[in-house]
Amino acid sequence: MFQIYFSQNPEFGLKELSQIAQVIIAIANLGLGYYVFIYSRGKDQRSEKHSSNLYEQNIRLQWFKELVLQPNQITIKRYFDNLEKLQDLINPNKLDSQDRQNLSLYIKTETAYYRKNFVDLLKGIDQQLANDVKENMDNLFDSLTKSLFDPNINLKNSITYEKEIQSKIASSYNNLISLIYNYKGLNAR
Amino acid sequence: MDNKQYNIDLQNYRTPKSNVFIGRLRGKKVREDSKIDENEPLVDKIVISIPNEIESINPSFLEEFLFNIVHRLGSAGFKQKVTFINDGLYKIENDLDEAIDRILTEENALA
Repeated sequence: MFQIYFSQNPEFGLKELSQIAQVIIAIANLGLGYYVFIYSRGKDQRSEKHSSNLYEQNIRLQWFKELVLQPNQITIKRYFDNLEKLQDLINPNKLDSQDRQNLSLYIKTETAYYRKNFVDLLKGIDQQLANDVKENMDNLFDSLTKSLFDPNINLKNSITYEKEIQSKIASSYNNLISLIYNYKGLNAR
Repeated sequence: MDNKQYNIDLQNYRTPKSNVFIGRLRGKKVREDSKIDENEPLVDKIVISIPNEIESINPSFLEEFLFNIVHRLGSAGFKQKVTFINDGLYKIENDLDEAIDRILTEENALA
């Protein structure tokens, strides 16, 4: 194609070729400059968004600590401490149906207090965290109920009590600490 | 006026050898199997019988079992329309109040 063009335009030489090359290089530079501009602007926007998210996350964590955790440490402690006092309420000589009903009512009253004063508060902060903490609470509540009313479980025996009640309370507490510790403040409600 | 009544006997939904109703999954299963949600608008009264041997019906179960009708009727409407019958030692009132409170709190949180 060039050969045909050169044969038809003998005045077209290296000078013209050089000019065309310069234009191509200028266009390429312009394209590269535009690409660098767009890329760095996108990077800046991403970085700005990331910083903004980090800032919001820090604020959420700070409020979570100051408005929810610190004022309710006592509620959490009260719940688990009071559940641990169950053993003191078990009469070593007698544990009939009415006694089991009384123990069950004690667990229910403590759980309702804990739910109203701590678990429900989490719903306004992070629905997933609230669901996880509530599930942890219900799992403990249901598991204790099951053990309490199982006629084959003798809760007056200290080893059985440790296995059926004490270890479940400890495990639920550890799970709660893990849920709170792993909350990153990422999700708004 | 013809008063229509829908009866649910929890004996039909008991886990064999169990004397408690616990857990959200179980509550959901009983809600679906008993068809309480579908029948509630068609009747004037719902009567739920609790077997005498039952020793606890936990809020986790009740919350899921009654979620839709409490949501639909509200606390007062629910208590007016739904009656629990139990001659055993276990009394459902505390657990029921706790479950209703949970459902209505959940509703507010999601609003």
